[in-house]
Amino acid sequence: MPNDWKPVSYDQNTRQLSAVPDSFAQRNLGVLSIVWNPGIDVGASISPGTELAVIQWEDNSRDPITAPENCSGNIGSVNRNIIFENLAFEPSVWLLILSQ
Amino acid sequence: MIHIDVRTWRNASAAIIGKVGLLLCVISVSSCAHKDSMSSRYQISVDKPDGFSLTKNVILVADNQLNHLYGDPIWMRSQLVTQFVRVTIRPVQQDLFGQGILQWVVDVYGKQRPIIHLGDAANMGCVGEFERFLGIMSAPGVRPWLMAPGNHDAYLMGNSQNVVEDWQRACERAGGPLTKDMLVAAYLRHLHLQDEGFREAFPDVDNLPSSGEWRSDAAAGSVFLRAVAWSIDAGRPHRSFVVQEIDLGLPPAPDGSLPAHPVTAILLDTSQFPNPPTLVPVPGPNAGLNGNLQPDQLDVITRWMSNVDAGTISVLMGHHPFGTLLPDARAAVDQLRKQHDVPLFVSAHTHLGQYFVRGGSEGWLELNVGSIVDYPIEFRTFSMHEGPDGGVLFRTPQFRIPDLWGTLAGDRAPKCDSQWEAMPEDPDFYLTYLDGSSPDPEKTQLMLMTTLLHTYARLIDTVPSASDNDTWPDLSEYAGSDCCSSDAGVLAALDHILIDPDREQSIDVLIELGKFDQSRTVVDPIVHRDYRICQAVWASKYNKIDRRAPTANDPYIMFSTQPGNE
Repeated sequence: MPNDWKPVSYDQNTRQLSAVPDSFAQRNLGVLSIVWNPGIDVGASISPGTELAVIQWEDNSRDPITAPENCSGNIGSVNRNIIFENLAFEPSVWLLILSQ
Repeated sequence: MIHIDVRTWRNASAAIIGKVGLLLCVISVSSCAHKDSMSSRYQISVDKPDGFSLTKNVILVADNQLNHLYGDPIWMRSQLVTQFVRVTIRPVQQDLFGQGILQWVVDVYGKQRPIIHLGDAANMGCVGEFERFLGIMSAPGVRPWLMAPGNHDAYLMGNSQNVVEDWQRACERAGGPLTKDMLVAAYLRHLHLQDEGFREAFPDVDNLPSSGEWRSDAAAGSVFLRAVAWSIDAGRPHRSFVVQEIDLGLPPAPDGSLPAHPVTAILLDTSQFPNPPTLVPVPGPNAGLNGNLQPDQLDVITRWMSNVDAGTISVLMGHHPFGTLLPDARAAVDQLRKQHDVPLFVSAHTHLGQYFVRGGSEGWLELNVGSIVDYPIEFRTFSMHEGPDGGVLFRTPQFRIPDLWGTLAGDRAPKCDSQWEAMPEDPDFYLTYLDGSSPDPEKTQLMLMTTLLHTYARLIDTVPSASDNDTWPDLSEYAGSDCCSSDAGVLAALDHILIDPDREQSIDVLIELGKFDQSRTVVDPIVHRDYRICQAVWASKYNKIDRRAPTANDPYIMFSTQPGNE
C-alpha cells in the first residue's frame, strides 16, 4: 500500500467525511468492517490526525482512518450502517458529518 | 379475448381462494394467533454495534434456475399446466437474459468476497444448464465459490427422477439429464479446479473414488473449503450426496490474535433421498416439496460438528427450508442444532427472502434467501461480527435488484430505459405465454419460440451491431435467400420466418441467433448488457404480479398527456 493512500476525504462545504471509492478499489480487498474508535460519537471533538476508526480487510489486516486536513469540529452524525460492499463504488459512502 | 378471460378467471380464483383461506384462519383463530417467536437470545438492531468481523463476508445467492429453452416438448411445460403451477414456464426473457443478473452480481461483487450458492443453479435439470452455470461462476478474478445442491440441479424440473423419457426430451440439445450422481461428479470437478489442496489429494479427477472425504490441513481461516465428503451412486443417483464444511473464519489479526470464535458453516445436501423422487408426492418423495438427508451424510456431519475446536460457532446451510425436510432428516438436523447450539439455519428454495422462526415460543432463526432471477430479485451478504456483551452479530444486508442499481453511479449497474419495454399488445410481451390454456406442449413450445423470435427482433433493432462487426448468423436455409451480413438482413429473415413459424426450425434459428448475439460486436456494449438484463427484470416483475403494473416500491410513474399516445 503506498504511503499516500487516503481512504477518506473531507468536504468543508458539506462538513462530510466520506470514503474515497478509488482508494478502496485500489486495495482490491473486500472490507469486513469499519470499527469506530471508542469515543468517536455524536458531540465528540475531532481535529486533523485524530484516529477515527479502523478498517478491517478481508485478509484480517487493518488500516486506521484518521481525520484529514481541515476536518476539525464536533461530530454531528456517525454512520453506523455502512454498506461495506459498496465502499469501492461511486457514489462515495458518507462516514461522519461534523455539526455546524 | 381469450387472454383477458384467462387472466380474469385466474385472478377471480385467487381472490376466492384468499377469502376462503382468511375465513378458515378466522375460524381457527387460536392457530393463527400463536406464531412462533424468536428467543430473547436474538435482538434486532438497526445499527451495527462496533466490533470486528469474526468471519469472511460471503455472498449468499440462490435459485437462478438457468433454464434450457430448446428441449423437446414435455407435458409439464404446457400452457394448461402453467395456469395451475406457474413456475413450469417463465417468461422467455427471464430464461433468455436472466442469467445476466447472476453474472452481474458475480462480476461486481464476487471479486472481493467468496460466494455460497444455495442451490437450484439449473431448472430442468440438464447437463448443459449446469455447464453454463459453471461458466458464469468461474469468471476471471472471482473469489472461490461453493454450492449446496438444490432439487432443480438433479431432478426433472426439481421434482422427479423416475420420468426418464420426459427428462431426456426436456434436455434434448443440452447434454441430457443431470442426475444426482452426475451433478456431484460435475461439482467435484469444479472443486478440483478451484482448490489446490483437494487437487493434490486427488490428482486424477477422472478417477475419483465413488465415495470419499477430504479435509484441508491449512491454517485456520486461510481457506474457504475446509472439508468435503461425497458419495456417487450411479445405480441409485438419488442417494448420491456432496456435503461441505466451510471455514468462515479469518486468519490471525496483525497482532497475532485469533478471532474470539472460529466459525464454520456446514453446507448440507438436502436433495438426497432413499427412493427416487416422483412427481406425485404419495408415496413420494417429491424433491420439490420436501428435502431429505440420508444416514451416510448425517454421519459425516455429526462427526465433523463433534470434532470442531472448543468455542466454534457452527451455522447450517442448505437448499430446502428446515420446515420442508422430511421428518427423520428434520429430527436429525434439529438434534445437531440443539447439541451444538447452532444459532442460524440458512436456506433458499422459496424465492421469497424472509426469516422463519422455528421451534415455538423460544424459537430459533432460519434465514431464507430469495431468488436471483424471480421477483423480488435478491442476493445477500453474510458475516458474523463481535457483538455486545460477548455475543455475536449477524450482518446480512439484503440487496434487491433493481433497487440496488439505483444507488450505484456510472455504468457499473444497468440502467433500464423505459423505451425498451415490451407492451401488452406487442408479440414479445412478457406474459404472452399466459394467453391461452392449451394442454398441447408442442403448441406451447411453438408459442414460446415465436415469442423468442420476436424478442430477438426487438433486441437487434434496439441494440445494433457495430459497423465493423464480422460475425453474422447463417439463416439462409430459413430466410429464403442468402442471409445474413447485416442487422437489416437478420431482421428481414426473422420477418420471413415469422410468417409461418415452425417449431423445430424456430429452435434452430434461435440457437443460431443466440450464438450471433453472444459473439457480435455491438455499437454500445453497455446498452447491450443493460437491455438484456432489463428485459429479464421486467419479465420477472410482471410475472410475479401477473400484469404490467407498478409495485408499491416504484417511486416514479410517467403519464403521457397525449390521449392517443398509448
